[in-house]
Amino acid sequence: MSWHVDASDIHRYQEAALDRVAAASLEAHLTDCGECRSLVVVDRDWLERSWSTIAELVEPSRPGVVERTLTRLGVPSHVARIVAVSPALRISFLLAVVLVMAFAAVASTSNPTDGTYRVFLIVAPLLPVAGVAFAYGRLVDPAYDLTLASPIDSFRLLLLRVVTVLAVSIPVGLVAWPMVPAPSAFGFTAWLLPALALTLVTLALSSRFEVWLAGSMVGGGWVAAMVIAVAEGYETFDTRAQIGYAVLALLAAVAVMVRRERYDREGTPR
Amino acid sequence: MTDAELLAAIVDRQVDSLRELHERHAPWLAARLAHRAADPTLVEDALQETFVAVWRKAGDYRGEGEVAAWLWGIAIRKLIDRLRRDRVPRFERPSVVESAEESVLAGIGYGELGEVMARLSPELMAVVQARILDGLSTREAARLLGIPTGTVKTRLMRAKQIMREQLA
Repeated sequence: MSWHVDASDIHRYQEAALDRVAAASLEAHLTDCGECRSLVVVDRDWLERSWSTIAELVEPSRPGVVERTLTRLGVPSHVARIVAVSPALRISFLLAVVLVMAFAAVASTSNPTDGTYRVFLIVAPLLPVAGVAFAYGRLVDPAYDLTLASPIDSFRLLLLRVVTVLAVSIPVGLVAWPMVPAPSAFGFTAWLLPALALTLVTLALSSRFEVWLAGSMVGGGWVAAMVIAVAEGYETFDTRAQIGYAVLALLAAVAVMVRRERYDREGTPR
Repeated sequence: MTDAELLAAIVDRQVDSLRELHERHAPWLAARLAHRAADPTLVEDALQETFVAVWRKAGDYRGEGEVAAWLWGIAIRKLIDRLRRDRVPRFERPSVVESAEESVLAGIGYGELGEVMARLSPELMAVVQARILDGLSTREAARLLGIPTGTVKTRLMRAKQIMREQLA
């Protein structure tokens, strides 16, 4: 190459400040001269972004462990993808669940004599409710658009969400429970029925209210009821109470099935 | 690795080589496309489609001429495709690709031909750049410039006539 372009000319070209003929000449030269091409000013962030878009197009990211496992278990691939990108399976949500459980467990053990194990029993059922109510939706879920566009009807989508949330929060609760010095009568799973009942009630209410509102009402109602019950001296986790939770869960499940037509894509009222 | 070697590696599905090619050529291609279309989104899309096309069709490169010129040929056509889809032909200043005229232009810089071109009206210059320097067909040039093909033909004829007179 007999000549090279001034770096300053290239910069002026990039700012569209070069006259037409000089620009044409410079473009012709750039096509031939790698040395001068490398003088083009580049925004590294832009280059990164540009590349990541292209990379995703030419080599779509491989399905993760969760997605592949589900597919192997016979779950249809589009369902597996939705579950895999579910907010309930992201580290931040898992971390929140673990922290709340740990906090409740510690609060319960700090004074084992006066039944503060109830703190754990009261908090644990709230976690799946919070997961269903707050971990999804336009604002917090990066996969919101993908989920919206998926070929699944909204009701099944909502159920899928509930199952995923339960699948994540229940094992954490089961791991945390042995740390709580509760009377053995309450057993290992005293909070499971309340958790199921509260989640189903949230689901039922969300056929009428926004799901976050339904979750808030259920959570608030649960805490208020427990505080009152404890203050009045009622036992809230004995066999009779558990039967009550089971009935509540059943009623909520029936309500959900009856009103299943009323769920739209966001689990909000039509 | 030379650009041609990178293309050979891309044929063998080496993503890293595509990345290297992108790193080398995306900046100047983007700058040049920006001189053809005012909308940055169009430029970005055309650029991405260019490299996706390279990934799919790197084998089409015959080893003749600069890889850069080959890339530009893809990029400008992706941009034209975009313009057609959006139905809003926009351009600022058309300009350059592989042709006898181009090598002349690259050699002489601001010399004689440059002076001749500087005398063309902006409309004629745009057609000369699209047809001769960018190496586009009449139809492609018409799309890029947003004018009828007949107008491209007549303007190119007038431009050649003016340039011949100037060089004579």
